[in-house]
Amino acid sequence: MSVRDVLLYPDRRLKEVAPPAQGPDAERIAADLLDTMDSLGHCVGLAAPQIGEAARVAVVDVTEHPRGADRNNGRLVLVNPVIVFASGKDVGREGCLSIPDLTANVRRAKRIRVEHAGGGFESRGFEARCIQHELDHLDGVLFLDRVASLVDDVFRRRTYSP
Amino acid sequence: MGHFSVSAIGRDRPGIVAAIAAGLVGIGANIEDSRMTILGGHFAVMLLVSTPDEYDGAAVEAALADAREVLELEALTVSEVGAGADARPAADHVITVYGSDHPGIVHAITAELAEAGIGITDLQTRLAGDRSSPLYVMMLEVALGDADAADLDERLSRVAEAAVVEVEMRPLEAEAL
Repeated sequence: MSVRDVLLYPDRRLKEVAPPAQGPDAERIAADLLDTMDSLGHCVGLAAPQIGEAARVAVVDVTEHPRGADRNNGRLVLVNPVIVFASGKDVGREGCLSIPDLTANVRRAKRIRVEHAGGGFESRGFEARCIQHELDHLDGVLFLDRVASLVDDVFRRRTYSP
Repeated sequence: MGHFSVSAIGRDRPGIVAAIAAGLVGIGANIEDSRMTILGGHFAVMLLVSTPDEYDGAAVEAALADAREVLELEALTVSEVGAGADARPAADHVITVYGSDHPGIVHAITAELAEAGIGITDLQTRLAGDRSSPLYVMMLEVALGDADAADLDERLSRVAEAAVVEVEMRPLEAEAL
């Protein structure tokens, strides 16, 4: 268990499609993701490719975030997660530790159902947005790949506090 | 009625738009549409202007002579356009390009589009990141028309790999309502 460095784009590992995660490896990666996420204060999610691990593992925890505190599934460790159902569309502002200078308006589903190695659950709102953002990382997709307009939807982050 | 495209470029300072507008209103011209922006301390303005019949391009230019001198404009052009020439082809796809900044990104992508005969209707770029690892982001709106989207996607992927950038093409979202 250790706090790991977060890769920054243009590191190629952020653009790879990650293979499924296996047993003990998945546990080790999940533990490192949780440690790293916790070390970063405001961070609400992290995916294995961001710490240089090619595996389908992500963690999400919005319980301390003002927008997610009242509606969440707790501290989520997602191994081989798949979104099996999605509905609604909503535009919200996202940033990413791997692209520290920019934020963007990204369109995401409002409600999703996720199946993963540890079971399944439904998620809505802010937590659902975070999960979709982290799962994108497992496919090498960054939020810049999802914005519609550079002028209207991409912004320079005003302050960046890791 | 005459229709003219008026472009002006100069070092930014207060009063540019006012001085140009003063020249135009003096001949009863109407500013129908405009784009103005500042980049690197330089101000650029493009206007679509309609004028009463008796004014030709030379007359419009003459009307702007004062503004040109006072503002020390670096360029001022007046070109006649047909009525309704504003109708540009409707963009139907958006292309996002990003990667470590280096010379040649814009050329690599746009040369491929030009070769495929595809028109760019809007292009914006942004530079982010710190000096040691600058990140270049470009978004283009394009009018594919009858061109094959899958074929273009494949061509752009090849160009992206060679230029070491990410390229993503998506249909432009049509808003319901």
